[in-house]
Amino acid sequence: METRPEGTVDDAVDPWAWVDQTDEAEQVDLDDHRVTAILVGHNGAEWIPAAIKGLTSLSHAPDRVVLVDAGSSDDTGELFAEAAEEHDWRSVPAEVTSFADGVRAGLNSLHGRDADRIDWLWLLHDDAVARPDALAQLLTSAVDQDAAIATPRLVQPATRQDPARVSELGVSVARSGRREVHVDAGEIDQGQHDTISEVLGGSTCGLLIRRDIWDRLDGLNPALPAHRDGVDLGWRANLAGERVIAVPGACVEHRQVGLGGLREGSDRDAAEDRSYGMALVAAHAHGLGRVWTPIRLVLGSVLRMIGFLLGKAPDRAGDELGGLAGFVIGRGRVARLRARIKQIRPEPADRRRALGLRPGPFHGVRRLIDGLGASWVDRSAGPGGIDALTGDDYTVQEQQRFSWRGTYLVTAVAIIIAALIAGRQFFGRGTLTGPALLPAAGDLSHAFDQWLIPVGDWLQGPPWLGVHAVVSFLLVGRPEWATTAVVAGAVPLALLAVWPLTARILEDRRVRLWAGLSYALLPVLLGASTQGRLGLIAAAVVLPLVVRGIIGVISSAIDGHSWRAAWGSGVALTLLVAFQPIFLPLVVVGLLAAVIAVGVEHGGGAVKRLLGRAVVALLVVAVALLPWWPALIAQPSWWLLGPDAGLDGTSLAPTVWELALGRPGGEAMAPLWVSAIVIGALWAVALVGTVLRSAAPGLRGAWAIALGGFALAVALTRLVVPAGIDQVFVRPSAAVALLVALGGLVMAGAVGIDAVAEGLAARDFSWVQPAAALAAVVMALTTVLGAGWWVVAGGSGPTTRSDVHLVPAFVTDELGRTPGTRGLAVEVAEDGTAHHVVFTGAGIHLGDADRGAGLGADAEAADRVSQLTRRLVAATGDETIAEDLRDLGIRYVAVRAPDDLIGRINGTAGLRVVSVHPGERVWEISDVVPATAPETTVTRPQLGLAIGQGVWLVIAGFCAAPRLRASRSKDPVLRARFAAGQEVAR
Amino acid sequence: MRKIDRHITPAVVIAGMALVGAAGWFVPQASPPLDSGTGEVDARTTVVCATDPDDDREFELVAAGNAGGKLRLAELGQPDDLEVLTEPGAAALKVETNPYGVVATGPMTTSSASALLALTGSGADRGLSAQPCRGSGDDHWFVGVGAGGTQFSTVLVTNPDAQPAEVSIRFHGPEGPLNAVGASGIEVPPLATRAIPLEGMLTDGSVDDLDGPMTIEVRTTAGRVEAVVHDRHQDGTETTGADWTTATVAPALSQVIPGVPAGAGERSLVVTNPGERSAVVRVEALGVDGAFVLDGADEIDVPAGATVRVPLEGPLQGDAAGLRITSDQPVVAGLNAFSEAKDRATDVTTPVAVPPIVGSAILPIVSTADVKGTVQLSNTGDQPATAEVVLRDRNGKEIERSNVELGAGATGVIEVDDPALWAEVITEADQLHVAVVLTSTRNQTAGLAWLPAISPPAGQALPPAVVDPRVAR
Repeated sequence: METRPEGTVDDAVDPWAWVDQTDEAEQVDLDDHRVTAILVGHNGAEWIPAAIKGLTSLSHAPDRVVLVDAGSSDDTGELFAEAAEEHDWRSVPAEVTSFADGVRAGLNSLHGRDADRIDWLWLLHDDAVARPDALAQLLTSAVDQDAAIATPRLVQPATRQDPARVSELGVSVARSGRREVHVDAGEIDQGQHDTISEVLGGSTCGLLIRRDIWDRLDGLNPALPAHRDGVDLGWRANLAGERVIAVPGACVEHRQVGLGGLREGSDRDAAEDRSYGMALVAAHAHGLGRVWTPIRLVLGSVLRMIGFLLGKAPDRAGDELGGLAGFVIGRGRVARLRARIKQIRPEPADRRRALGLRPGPFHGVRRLIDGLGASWVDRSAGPGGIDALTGDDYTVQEQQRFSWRGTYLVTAVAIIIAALIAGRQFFGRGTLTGPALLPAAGDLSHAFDQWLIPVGDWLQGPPWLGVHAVVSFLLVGRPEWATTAVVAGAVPLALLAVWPLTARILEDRRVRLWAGLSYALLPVLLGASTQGRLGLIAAAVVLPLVVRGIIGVISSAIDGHSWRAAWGSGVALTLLVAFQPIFLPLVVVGLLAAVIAVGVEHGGGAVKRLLGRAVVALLVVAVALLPWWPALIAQPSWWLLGPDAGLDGTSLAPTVWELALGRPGGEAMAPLWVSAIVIGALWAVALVGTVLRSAAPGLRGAWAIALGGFALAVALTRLVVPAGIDQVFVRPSAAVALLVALGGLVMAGAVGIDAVAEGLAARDFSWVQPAAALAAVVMALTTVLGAGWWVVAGGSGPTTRSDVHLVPAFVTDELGRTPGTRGLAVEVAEDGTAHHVVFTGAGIHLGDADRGAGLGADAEAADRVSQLTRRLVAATGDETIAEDLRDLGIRYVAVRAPDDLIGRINGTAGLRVVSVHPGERVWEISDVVPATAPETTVTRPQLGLAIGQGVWLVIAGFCAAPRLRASRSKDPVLRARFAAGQEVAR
Repeated sequence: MRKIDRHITPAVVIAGMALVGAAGWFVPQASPPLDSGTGEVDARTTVVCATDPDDDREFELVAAGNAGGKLRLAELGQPDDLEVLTEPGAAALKVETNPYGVVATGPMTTSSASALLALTGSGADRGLSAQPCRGSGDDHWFVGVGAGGTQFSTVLVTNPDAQPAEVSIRFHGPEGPLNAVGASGIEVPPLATRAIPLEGMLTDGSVDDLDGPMTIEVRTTAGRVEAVVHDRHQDGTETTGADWTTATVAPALSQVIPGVPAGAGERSLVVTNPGERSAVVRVEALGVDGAFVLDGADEIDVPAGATVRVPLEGPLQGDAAGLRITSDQPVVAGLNAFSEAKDRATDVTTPVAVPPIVGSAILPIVSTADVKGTVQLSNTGDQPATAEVVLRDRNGKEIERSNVELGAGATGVIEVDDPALWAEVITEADQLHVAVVLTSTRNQTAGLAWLPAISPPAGQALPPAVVDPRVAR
């Protein structure tokens, strides 16, 4: 298949080209072939000299050359006339509007055919420069391969800053009408393509076609005046049973000035290209596809338009709109294209062959995913990353990025694998539950209901349930997967979130890695995974983004640049406050401190700008969480609590020493020795760093955060406040405050050590370096110890997946069938305390501790149930218990208790046993009249409210998002690269 | 100057740490508001006393209460009240065989008790019999029963509800669990007592010696029941005593039997290990001067599922006492105690393990014209305890108040000489087990009976309760 003539110019580029050489090429006799080159020019005076020079430098010159000036208003006609005179070519002025008509005019100027030779036409653009062997390669390959059409490798010329890049190797058309060019976007031309392949078509630039086929197909279709005409021609040739090949050995430099918007009067070229692409796809549709394809094309185009708008590329969206309008308005074009296709009467086999030369149905999606993946890797490796949403000033140092990409990738992959091992018991059958984690909603609809359906005076459920529902939606609508992913992914997610922050504030890459890993381990050391604390994990992930955002806000206020950071900070802060409202006042205090500091350092202008940005950020939060503010005002204790805080209980507060060692209390904390070593090391590093480099930038801020966090932890744990709408008394968990404190400690240590490392590099060798190396080893070992504990035992504990429940399924099924009936579940702890809850047919799910479970905001009923439970568990033999249960609509009572107590409870009048297991029993109460059934449907105003919140966040996200880098520009290289499909934000 | 600057940050940091630490050290932690209260308000409880439908004796139904509310005495399931108490006092009714219910409402649920008494001079039930009226339970253990030979026991199962109930009976003999016929799926009609004689239930060969010690477990499989055992002892054709045996405390590692009668006569401790591992049991007497291990009873092996009898009349030497049985496996325990007096016929009673009283308890019968009562209080706590025993008459009037001081492990005895009908025992101790031993010399019989003091569950402090949605996940 390989064909490459000897002694090509590309040999200079590719010293190994001889490997691919074959003898067969030498046997092709080009003397039997006559080539007529037709160069059509339109307002191309700037590029035509180079094109003509290329023509004159060919190793195998065309037999005839026709230069067609297609109604240019510049010097094109004069340039053509001069060249024709000099080289004995023909120059033809033609008042035509399409390339097709230009070629036709050129052909019409020629007379006579050579009966002994096979005629070929070679079509050229005025912005194309053929490499010397281009024609020889094309013709040889076409003859050798028995192809009717041969298209060259088109490259964008090299510039001073940028190497030559391959732009096309034949052209196909995706189902959306998008151009498919058979090379990767931005691929540097290194001669790496060497295989001749069949293609659907190609650009008309450099396209070689046998004259008889040209005549049979009636040449180019004037319905496509400027773009896609070559693809149409090739497509029709394929349908006619002819072969169309791309010859990579033949190279033509093509500036693509039309697509690049560089040609005078070519502003609409990109829109036309889209329009023609869609028309081409619609024209080639057959059967039912004739109806469906236009609809699909229009819908796809609208979606692309929205995508461009979200990517803040309004010019691209404009192109798309123009293309769509052109397609819809210019339906006559489709008919004209179809008329030519109809003449061919293709065989089914040829139709299938042509279809096989087009990209598959999901090719575009795959390219988008590839692009996003590549983009993420680029970003995560250096400053920027996920939090590019919250920063403006991200610049990538190419050198650094490549040297660190491997380390970051390896670390990320290792941490993900470690998380899978550590979280081994989080996967499997059943539902994931823990001391602070209720089962996720059964389906997406229920997950949204938990958020949207208000209880009591609320306008809406707690906002963290909305975040959970949206994450569930993203995870193919499985709330259980969302919960599992968050609990199991605590460390990797925190690591990914904190990396960009470390890159922003730390110089030394080793210190960055230490700080990132140390921070990422904090949630598990604080019991996030073992206790199932979604709020803590959410805080661990979002907090670095908020900090990064605030740094961005301050930077942008000082520099006076964009507002993106403000919007981005607002979005991140919204997520954080949704889970942990306490962060809102904390951030406000932080911003006020920043205002003072900026005022002192940079004056009033910067303060004004900072205030403006701070207001924007807070406005995003205020509006996004609007329905939740009344609840926060009515019950101020919400400010201190996280998700489902009612589960926390009122056990004794941790001591100061426990807090200092990152032990907020609760079940399944990390072993004391692990906390002591790992957290102790953080203290040591922070203090040593502070003593050695007390002036390091950011050190005081880090300590302020750390000490503020510890003070908050102390304050929170000394309180007992009502939680949830049912006002259950709890001692607020110190976990999130400790996350802030220990995060500050990590930051203080890292900043100090970073400064020390910087100093060491400039210092002569002495005892200091070995001591520093030893300290580094100790730091690394403690982090490894923490990570080791996490992998081995970090996932073990009461948070586990189980399908064994106290309440049998038939109970919830029965309750579900009779709205307004309820169940009472009681578990008697070792100390005799009766833990109880009332549930409905929906069971108990995430958010029910906040939403008051089966009783909602009915405080009186809650009191009655509490007393009733106490009487029941006391096994007093009180015969009014059944009557009281009936009054409350409680039809089932499920109790987990020691057998003897269950036996005594069994003596309660009116209870009929319906289920018996060791240590568990379920009774039914007869003749229960349903109580008022809770609301179970979302009303239109509630839905409207949620949509409004979503739209607001999308707007904020839009304002925060970076622009699509490859938006329309006058840089042809970039434009062409973009046209090749690289539509990913960079 | 720069040197000073260098030290400012560390100094401020350390000062901040000290400040936060001090705050954590000295700021007291808030406590949740206490959720106190009892189940007395609007509560209603029913206790049941049952007799053998074939038992033609005359009985005395006694109920006493020391609170407001209402205490109704009625035949089970009958709408008419036999008597109603609405203020502190007692009621004593002569009744015939029937199941009787005593329904307490309001404060009476926390401070009332009732019992059934029978005193007969002849026949198979000769002697003094007493049973406390008790509430329904899921599982009833009866220790020291018999299925033939010298002891014939009949289980009286009463269904207090309008729905049928069902029970099954398991036997534990000297060698272990015994096979029985017709012992499962025994239906108990609504609002009625069913008498289930144990005689004949054991299949041939399942037990070699019917005189061996035996314990039964009456387990409710549907509905709820109250159960008591009617025991008749005989030697050949000669009646040696009869009484009701009330259910003992469910299997536990420690059991306390208060009210071991003073005086001569057989004292056979019966211990059953219903578990699957053999138990080593130790028996202590809680004497007037404190606890001591009884000779030969410091290490008693009880095979898995088996029942053993331990003669204690020797070691006890006729003293009033309590018994503390401790074991490495959960066991149940009771004591067959016979009276013995010159020129008088013998009688029997079976004190069983009971829970400690909580705060106060009512003893519905202490003494009458024909019956003399001895209140025995055993303190099984580690610390000395005090208690007040207030004797009252039918109208609730206080007749006598005795203060009892008890050392750790000691038993106190109050002989009641004055005619009194009922008593209230009040204590702050949490390990005080109380019973009254009733004796009678009427009809040439050394009548002997035993009644425990049991605090009404409704009067106990209710356990704390917290809302916890995790329970139903």
